[in-house]
Amino acid sequence: MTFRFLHTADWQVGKPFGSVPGDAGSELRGQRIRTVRRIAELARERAVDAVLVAGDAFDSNDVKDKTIVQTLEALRGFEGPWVFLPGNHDAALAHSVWTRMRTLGLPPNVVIADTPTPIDCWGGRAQVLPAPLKRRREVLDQTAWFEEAATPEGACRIGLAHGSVAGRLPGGSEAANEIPEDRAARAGLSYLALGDWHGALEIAPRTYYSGTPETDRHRANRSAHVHLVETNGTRAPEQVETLAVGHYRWVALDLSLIDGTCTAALTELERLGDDPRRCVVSLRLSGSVSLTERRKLEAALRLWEARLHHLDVDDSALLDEPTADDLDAIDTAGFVRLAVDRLRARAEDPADPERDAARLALRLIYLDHRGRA
Amino acid sequence: MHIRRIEISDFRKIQHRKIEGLQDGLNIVVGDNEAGKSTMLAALRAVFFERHRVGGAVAESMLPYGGTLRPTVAVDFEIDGKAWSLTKAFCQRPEASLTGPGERIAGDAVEDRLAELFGFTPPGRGGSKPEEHQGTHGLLWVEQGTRINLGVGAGRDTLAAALEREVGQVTGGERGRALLAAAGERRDRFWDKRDKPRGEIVAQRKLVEELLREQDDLLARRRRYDEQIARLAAIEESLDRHRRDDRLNKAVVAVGTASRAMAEAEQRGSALKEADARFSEAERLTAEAKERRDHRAALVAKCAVARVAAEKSAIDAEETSTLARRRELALREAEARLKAARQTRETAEARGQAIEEALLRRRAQAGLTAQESTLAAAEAQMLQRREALARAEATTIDAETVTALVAAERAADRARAELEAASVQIAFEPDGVRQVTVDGVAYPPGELLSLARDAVLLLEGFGRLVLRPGGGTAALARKAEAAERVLRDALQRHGVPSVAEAQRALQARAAAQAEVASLTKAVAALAPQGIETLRQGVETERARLARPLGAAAAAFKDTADGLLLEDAKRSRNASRMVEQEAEQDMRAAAALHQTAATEAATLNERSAAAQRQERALAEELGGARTVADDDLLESRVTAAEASLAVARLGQESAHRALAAADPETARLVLERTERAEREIRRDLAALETERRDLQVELRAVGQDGIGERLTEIEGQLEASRAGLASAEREATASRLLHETLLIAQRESKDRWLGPVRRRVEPYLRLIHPDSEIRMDDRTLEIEGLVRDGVLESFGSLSMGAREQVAVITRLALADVLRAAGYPAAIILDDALVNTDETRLDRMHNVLTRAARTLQILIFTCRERDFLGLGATHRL
Repeated sequence: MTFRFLHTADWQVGKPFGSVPGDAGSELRGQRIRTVRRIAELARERAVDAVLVAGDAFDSNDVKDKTIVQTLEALRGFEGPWVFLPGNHDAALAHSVWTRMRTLGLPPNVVIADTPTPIDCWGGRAQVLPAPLKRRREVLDQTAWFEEAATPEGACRIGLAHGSVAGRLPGGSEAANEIPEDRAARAGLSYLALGDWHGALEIAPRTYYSGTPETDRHRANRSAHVHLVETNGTRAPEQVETLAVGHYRWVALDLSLIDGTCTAALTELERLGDDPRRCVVSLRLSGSVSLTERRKLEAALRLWEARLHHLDVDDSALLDEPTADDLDAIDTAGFVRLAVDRLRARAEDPADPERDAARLALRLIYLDHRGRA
Repeated sequence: MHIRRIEISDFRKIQHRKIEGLQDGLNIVVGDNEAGKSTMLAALRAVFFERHRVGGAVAESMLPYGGTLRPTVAVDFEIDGKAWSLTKAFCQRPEASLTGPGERIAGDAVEDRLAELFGFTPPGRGGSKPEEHQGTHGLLWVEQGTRINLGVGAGRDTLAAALEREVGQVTGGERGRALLAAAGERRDRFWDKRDKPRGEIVAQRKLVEELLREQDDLLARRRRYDEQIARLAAIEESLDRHRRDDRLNKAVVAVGTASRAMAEAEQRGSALKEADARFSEAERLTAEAKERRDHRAALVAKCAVARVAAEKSAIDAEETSTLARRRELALREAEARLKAARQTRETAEARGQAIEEALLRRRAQAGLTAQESTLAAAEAQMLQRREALARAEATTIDAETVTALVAAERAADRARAELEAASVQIAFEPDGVRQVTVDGVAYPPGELLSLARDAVLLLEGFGRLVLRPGGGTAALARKAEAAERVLRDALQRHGVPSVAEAQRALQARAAAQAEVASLTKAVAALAPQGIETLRQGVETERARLARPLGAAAAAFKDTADGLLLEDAKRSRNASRMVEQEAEQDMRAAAALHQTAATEAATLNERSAAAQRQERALAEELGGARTVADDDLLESRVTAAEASLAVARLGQESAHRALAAADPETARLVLERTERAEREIRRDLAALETERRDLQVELRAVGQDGIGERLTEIEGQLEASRAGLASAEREATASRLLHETLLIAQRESKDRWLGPVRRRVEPYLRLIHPDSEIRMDDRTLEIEGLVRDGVLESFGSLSMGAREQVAVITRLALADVLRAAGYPAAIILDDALVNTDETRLDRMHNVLTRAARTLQILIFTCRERDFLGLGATHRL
């Protein structure tokens, strides 16, 4: 018996993006719900049996009621069952986004898997075994009961859990709510749908992270996808298709300007492609540039700020290296030159406590001078 | 540069004037007011700086009033020791020529060459203005009147070039000023005047603080939210436990069991209560019977006691009455003795009084006799005194009167003697008896008639003889008469016939007065309190003694004396003592009697009461025995005690039954199970209520989206902190930039104006020691004078100080120009007019010192002010 479903997780609807000010941040917030709508459309298009959300559908248990309602409305595009697993961000506490959702009026096709009991909405074709988190950090493995859970003969056993697979995730990720890597095998699961890791990843046999469908941070992983899964039973291999659904591209550029010019930075920005409006860029600059180049870079960055959805520049490691030409341009004689020479001496003195201020002062007077020019 | 010769023709008011032989150093050009000093300076300016073809108002201003002449100015001067001659003619046939070392120029080229030589900008059209076109000469050639600035004007660039030639290029020029202004503006955006942050930093800090506050608030709210959720979970867990353990139902069952056990125990308790009541009733009846029996026995005993008491009190009363009677008899006897003693004492007292009275009467009689004789003597003396007083008062003559009378008598005697001496002495010696009548009055013959006035004598037998005495007798007669009249009037007034009589009266008066005094003393000796008092005393005593003596006293009228009286007193005292003793005896007897009588009455009363008591008790006992006799009462006691024993047995049996049921334990169990049920119900209700409340509250809080807001705030906080850090970095850099620029500028200025300061300093020391001239480094104008560290603006200085400072600065600037190779000569027109003599003297030193290197032309009308200072040229 074939069972087709979408595996998704970590929507984190309601994430505020406080560090992205103004409309850009607001857009990022709104996009997370629009992406949910996109998933609903996809579910309908692909005529799946269910959409399984493996935790953290909401960014926290105390998102606004409005956010919950908008999310429920975004689900309308798919009338089949939606199974929501409480994750660490939206744990099934005594009072949670789930209890609130029930009070706000739960559509009949939405199942909140907040108790460790098998779910069967598919007439015995499949059974979903959920491992909801009742707390943000569970000490015990919540999936342990899968092994004991009985399922009707021939039904696909789909595990639904949220946490980190012990010792398998890259980059030293948080080891909370641990799940044994052989859980799928030991519990005879057709597929173990996991949430928590934001990139799409097959972490163990029949064990998958779908990642977040809408990227929410600068991290090099395969985010912005959902898994379309098809399984025929406990023994048959699963078919997993990774579908891109995300809207915004989160790009982190870490550049060192070593030739005294800003060309490298500008080139990288040019390479972002033909839809910069979808890019959320973090630009970290180091190295050094002349004052002329600095001025050029700042002008260019102002332009890029307007073109990109959001540009976050960290140039604290980018040092000004005024050239003789820079300084001559300000003045070659007179008291201004005297002042410039003094500032330069201080800027070059590692022992000077106001070294950074002197460097910036040089840039300021240069910009003043160029502004006049 | 040195000017050697000036020649002017037809220029304004000057027809022709020539000054030659101008020397190096100081030249004093002296001329009266209106002599054309200022015109001469104007001519010099014209020849050097005006185009010779200049027309219009400028050209006209050079012409003499109403003239159509050709103003011409010629100057010989030297530059760097080379001689030049310049001539310009204006208006009519304008011409210009310049002759110098190896060159001769005419026409317009002259102006160009001059501009080159002197470094000025010739005017394009129109007239040359000192501050625009005359280069440094606008500065160095100064006309009458004091300005509030140097008027550097177009000379600035030349001066700057001269200064830079000395110190090199140091200013930042316009660009530097603009950069400094921009830096200052930026610094001011971040810092206020007291170097406190402002603007963006403050705003960012506020924003960060506000966000932190909001974050704290949200965190607190979320903590509370989390706590409430935890509480809700705990409540739900508790409710679950109740349900799982079926606690309420179990409690209800336990209460039922305990209730039944309790009902059984209560029943046995009731039986015990009844047995207790029966026993109590039997006890009460037994006690009552015993009480009645005991009461009867007590009454019998009381009757016996009362009888004994009545008998005893009757005997006591009788004994005491006998004693009282005996004591009454003793009292009567004592009273009789007292009476006798009192009589004896009264008799003795009466006798003593009679003797004393008689003795007193005899003594009073004798006293009266003596008083009477004293009174008679005093009255006799008094009478004599009164007579003497009457005599003394009878005459009014006093010593003064007598003296006056004696004087009047002597005057009359003297007048009479004088008259007699002048009078006609007529002795009538008639023949026979003839009647002589003088003025109608018969005059005894034989008497010498002294006539002092006209008189008609009728001589009997002769007839009338008219006598007219002469020689003033008439006046003497009037005088004598007047004196007589005075004496007579005086005697008459005092009522004495003669002066001798008056003298006697005076003596008699004195004698009488002496007698009065003597008698007054005698009377006072006899009656010190006056005769009247003495007389009244006598009369009173006499009246008293006139009263007859009492019979008793009369008996001793003749025998009474001191001895007898003493004897009577002794008898009286003895009888008094006897009486007192009798009285004391009587009082003692009375007291004894009183005591015995009182006691007897009391005992009699008691005896009567005891008898009444005895009778009453006997009656009571008799009455009681008629109702129930003593044996009946005893049998009732026995019956009641039997009933009590039966009741006790029943009570003990009920006690045992109740103890077997253990009602205390049954009650405790019931109480406990009931409390347990109540607690479970209350706990369930409370948990339900709290859960409901928490759910409502959490729902309300949930709508606010604390988590969303908190994460948002965290993001904003991060951004604001970054913004603040960036603003602070820029602020610090702005301040550093501005400060560095300012310091650099200040140092540059110091260097820039150094040459001027250096040259000004020795002059200034001469005129205003301990001060410093402050100049604007840009305009090179004087800003002011720094004295004692305080900058006084140039405009605020006195006129004198202003012109001195200006002259000094001009000299210094001229020196700077000269040193840099620019032509520089100083012309001062009517300078230092406001300078006092002391400072003028010092200014001479200044000018002398400056004149070592500069040519200075001073145009003045006050020759003596500059006398001997340099070569003098008169206009």
